Amino acid sequence: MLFLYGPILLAPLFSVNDSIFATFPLKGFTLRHYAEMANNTGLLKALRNSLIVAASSSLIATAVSVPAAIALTRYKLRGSGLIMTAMSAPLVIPSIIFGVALLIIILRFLDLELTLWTIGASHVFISIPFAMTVLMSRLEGFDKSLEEASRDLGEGAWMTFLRVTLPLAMSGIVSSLLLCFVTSFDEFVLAFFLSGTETTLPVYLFGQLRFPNKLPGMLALGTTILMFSALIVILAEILRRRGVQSNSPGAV
Amino acid sequence: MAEHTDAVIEIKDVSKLFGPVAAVDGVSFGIIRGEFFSLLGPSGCGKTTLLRMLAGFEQPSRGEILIDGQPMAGVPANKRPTNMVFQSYAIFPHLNVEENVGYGLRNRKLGKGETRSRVAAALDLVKLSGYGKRAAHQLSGGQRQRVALARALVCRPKVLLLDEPLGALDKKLREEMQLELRQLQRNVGITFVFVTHDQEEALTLSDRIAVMSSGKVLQIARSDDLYENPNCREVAEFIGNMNLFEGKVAAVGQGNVTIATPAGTFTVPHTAPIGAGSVVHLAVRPEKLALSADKPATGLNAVKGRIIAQTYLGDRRQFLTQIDGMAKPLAISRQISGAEAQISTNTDIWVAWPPQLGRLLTS
Repeated sequence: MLFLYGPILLAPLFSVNDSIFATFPLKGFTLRHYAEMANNTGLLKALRNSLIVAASSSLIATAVSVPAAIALTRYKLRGSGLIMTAMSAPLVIPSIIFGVALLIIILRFLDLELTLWTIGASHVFISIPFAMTVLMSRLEGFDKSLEEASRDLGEGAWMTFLRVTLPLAMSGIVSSLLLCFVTSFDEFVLAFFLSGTETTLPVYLFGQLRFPNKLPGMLALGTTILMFSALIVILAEILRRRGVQSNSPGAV
Repeated sequence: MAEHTDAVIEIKDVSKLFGPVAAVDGVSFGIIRGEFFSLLGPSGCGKTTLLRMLAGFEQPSRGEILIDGQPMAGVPANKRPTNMVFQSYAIFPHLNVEENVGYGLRNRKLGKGETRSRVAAALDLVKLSGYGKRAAHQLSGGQRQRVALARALVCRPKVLLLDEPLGALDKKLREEMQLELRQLQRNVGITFVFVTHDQEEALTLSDRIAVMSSGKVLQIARSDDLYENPNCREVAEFIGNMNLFEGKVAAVGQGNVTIATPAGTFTVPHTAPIGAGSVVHLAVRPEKLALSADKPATGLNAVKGRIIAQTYLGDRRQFLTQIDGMAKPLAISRQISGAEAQISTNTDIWVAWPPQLGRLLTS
């Protein structure tokens, strides 16, 4: 546990140290690095980019995964095992290989420019396995006869989806969104390969590390991201566990 | 048949195949408007599949279903004049009791007031007034069952389909609900089609019962008729307890036949033509048999045996009597009134019954 969390805890520690060197002994307590962070336009721009990429890729990944998860859990499809394996591929393919491959495809074959869109698209790919896992476990958890009951009571397929499936899957959808958001927000390798002039926060952060005097500021930034990420992951897990009893706010 | 002129459901030669297996195999019958009809059979006999075809969740592979005179081929579940009470109740967990009950009223173009009063009336009907704001997970098993009933009845279906709705309840509650369900059906006058594997439940509740086995309907009859006059061995053995003697027709008389069995020669009523020598079964219920120490009067069917076990069942006592030449012991059930003589196990005894209480089964 110490090996796992020790180094992570050093970042917040040095981020409030009144020195530009990340060494012991600590000098004094300061929030100076956090204040500077707020005035750094390059950093704010990268942060904004990251938020845009994370938000849109998590929305798209989840939107694609909802119908896929319903299809895989509700109907006995042929080759559903193959589909699941194919969808989980980004989990096991090293992202550096994935990044190089995507770079070649985008530049050579599609002849596109590298923009935030290319980063976003790659993040959709790597987010889908997470979205599918969360959504499928949620959809498998509720009684199939609930949807039949809705049909029996006079609702067609679309209204049954809106009035029963969607509200019951809502906690899964929200936790999928959060998980995909974090996946994208923290992602470095693909963003590094696929960014053009605009870049995301992790890539910006890496670039700044070349300058020693920027280190404490980056530590402050890292600490902030760390805390947000942890918060979101915890929130996603709580939502996932709330289960069937949840009086979902999405109820019609 | 004349009684089928007011059939609310007509099932015409319906089969349902799952792969090579026929879950329902060439079934034809009608269900009369306003009756409490049960589909009874062991699990896997096709009764639930048949019910799901009535609801529109499964399509018949062959044959036709008419509800209220309308062919149902291609009509989806949401367009049928049926509503269903599911085995799991399928109460929507994200809605409260009121929202659950009102679910089917949304697209009926009723005013808010009308909807509210119909939901309230339905809750009243199932004795759940005042529970409207309860969340689904706060309900007990019996209450969930009532909500499921109210939710289906509020739509005023022509036919209410019930898929083993009492299976999940404990014995006492189940008996209470049986009584209530019967009462409810009489009050609302809606046709109920009730699926169960519990023969006692079917006998208690139903106007008529269809006994199913391996996808086929064996017999359709009123409860008492089904019990007293089963048309084959399978029905005889499935409904209540039955003693069977296998034998051959020895002589055909006026309105009766004499059959020779390894346990003796017995007389049994029978009117239809039958050839001497045919292999048949004589069936007689345990409660129709009398025990006596002395040889019974002539004119009764009688057989000598030995009591090998007896079981006290509160209101009656069940004796098992071993008969020479028979593999299975005879079961004899005797009411306990307190006045009868004690019979101890391992004593020899005569078992007798009037010929008219036996039944001849040819299949």
